[in-house]
Amino acid sequence: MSILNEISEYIQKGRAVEVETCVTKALEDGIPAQQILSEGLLDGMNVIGEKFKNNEVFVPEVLIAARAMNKGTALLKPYLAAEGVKEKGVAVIGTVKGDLHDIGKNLVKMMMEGRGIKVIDVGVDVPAQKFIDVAEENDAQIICCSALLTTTMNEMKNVVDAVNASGLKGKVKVMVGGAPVSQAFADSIGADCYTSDAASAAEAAVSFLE
Amino acid sequence: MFSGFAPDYTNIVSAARNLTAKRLPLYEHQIDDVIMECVIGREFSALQDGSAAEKAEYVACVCEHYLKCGYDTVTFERWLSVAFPGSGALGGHRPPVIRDRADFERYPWDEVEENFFRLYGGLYSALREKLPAGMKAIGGVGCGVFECVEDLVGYESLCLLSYDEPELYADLFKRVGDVSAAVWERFLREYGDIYCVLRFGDDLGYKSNTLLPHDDIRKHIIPQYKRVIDMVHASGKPFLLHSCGNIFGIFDDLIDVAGVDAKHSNEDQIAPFTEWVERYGDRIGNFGGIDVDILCQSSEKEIGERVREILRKCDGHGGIAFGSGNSIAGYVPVENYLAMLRAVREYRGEKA
Repeated sequence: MSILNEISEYIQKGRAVEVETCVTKALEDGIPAQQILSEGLLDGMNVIGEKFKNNEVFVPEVLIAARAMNKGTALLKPYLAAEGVKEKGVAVIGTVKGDLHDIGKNLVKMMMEGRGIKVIDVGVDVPAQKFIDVAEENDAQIICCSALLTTTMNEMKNVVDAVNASGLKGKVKVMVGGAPVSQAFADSIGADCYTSDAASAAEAAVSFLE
Repeated sequence: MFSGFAPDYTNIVSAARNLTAKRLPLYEHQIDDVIMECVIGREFSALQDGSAAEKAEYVACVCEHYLKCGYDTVTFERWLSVAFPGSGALGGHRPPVIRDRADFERYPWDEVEENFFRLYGGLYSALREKLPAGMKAIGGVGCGVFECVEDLVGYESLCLLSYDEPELYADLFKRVGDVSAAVWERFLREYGDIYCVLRFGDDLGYKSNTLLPHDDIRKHIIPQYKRVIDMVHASGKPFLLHSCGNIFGIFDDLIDVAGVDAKHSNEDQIAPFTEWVERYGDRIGNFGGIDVDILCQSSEKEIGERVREILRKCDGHGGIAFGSGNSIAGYVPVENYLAMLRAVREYRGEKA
């Protein structure tokens, strides 16, 4: 098995120590950091994401895989910078105003990072304008809004309206998700995308960035 | 709005035992005090933290609401998780109070039972005094072991712990299970007579799956449920589980191993109430009905139509108790809540 396959396997098992060891060895072997990232770390997260989408693994497996990926990514960071490698894109993610639930948001963040996207987490109870401000400051291409409550999901419309009223209209895609959110609701507020699970959200985000 | 209503708690007992009730019972998992205040026309929520007399007045107001709205039972529980010192990692967004073995070992487990009865014993005693004739309570000790553990550890930390310290992960469920069993044993002894159906809520799922792996739930959670449910059954009463999310993957275990008699909570995004009835109506009582989102977003006319549609589809499927798929939270428009009640009461033949 190649070292990159090993890294992918260890990511899938959430074995952070082994990931660090293998990433270090791969760097010593002269493999470009971008290749280690895409064919090792992100490949492992893609497999986990697909399994999560198909209900073959559960949230704990995703969390330990993401933790292992973060360890590996931290090692690669200076090498990626030196190689001039940039993230696939930038997404701003948060739970909308009035809502303090963050488990779903955090999962989407992990899945997106696992697809090579830089994700800026603005937390919970986030007013619409803050999504706009942070997206503008960071040249984000995507805004992701999460809500658990049937009332707070209406705040997503304020985010969509704020995007349309800002200079971000046409430049930023608004993605929505959460327990009460549906495709019909996303359509009704003019959001660009709804997905029913975190892995699908990451896939959709990648498709927007391609 | 309806006259001549005489509550009869045996209707909900029948539904929980999956028998067709003489009259379709209404049921809610929780109703926010602010909604009940609107319905009965006076504020009373703050009384629950007052003197014994004020607690009694609080409970009397709660009972008045349920009676006025045509319920056969008063939903009443207080959360066990609150009685755990330092809890709040799930619902209160506080930092976890247990992060490692050392935290676990020094945790004041022995204080929880006393905390619970000190905090809430007065309210339960008041409930005994204030229950209207023909009514009993449904509820008990709120929160199952999963939510209690989450409130101590935090969900994401708990997930990581399952890999990093599997023995501690297992011990958490056992220790919280011990506390829960002790509280339930005392609760049934001291307040069991007030209740006709016992229940707790423990949200095991989210939109597409369970929050923990199925095998973990089977190994660490269901045995703890069974301890409580066995006690409830030994007291001659049925047990109702409230659990949100997509829990189909472990639902057979909840019925066959844990022994739940009835289940509440439905979200149309996962499966509408009628699907739960279709799939499990021959084995357990089904409590629930109209999705909270529909209840919030629809017109009163649409709500009435939806209620009638669900009830038509459920007809002949055994034990049904009807209400929202979750709770009447403070943000549910009170007129929509009343529209749901009106539709059910008209369906069961009550006259205005």
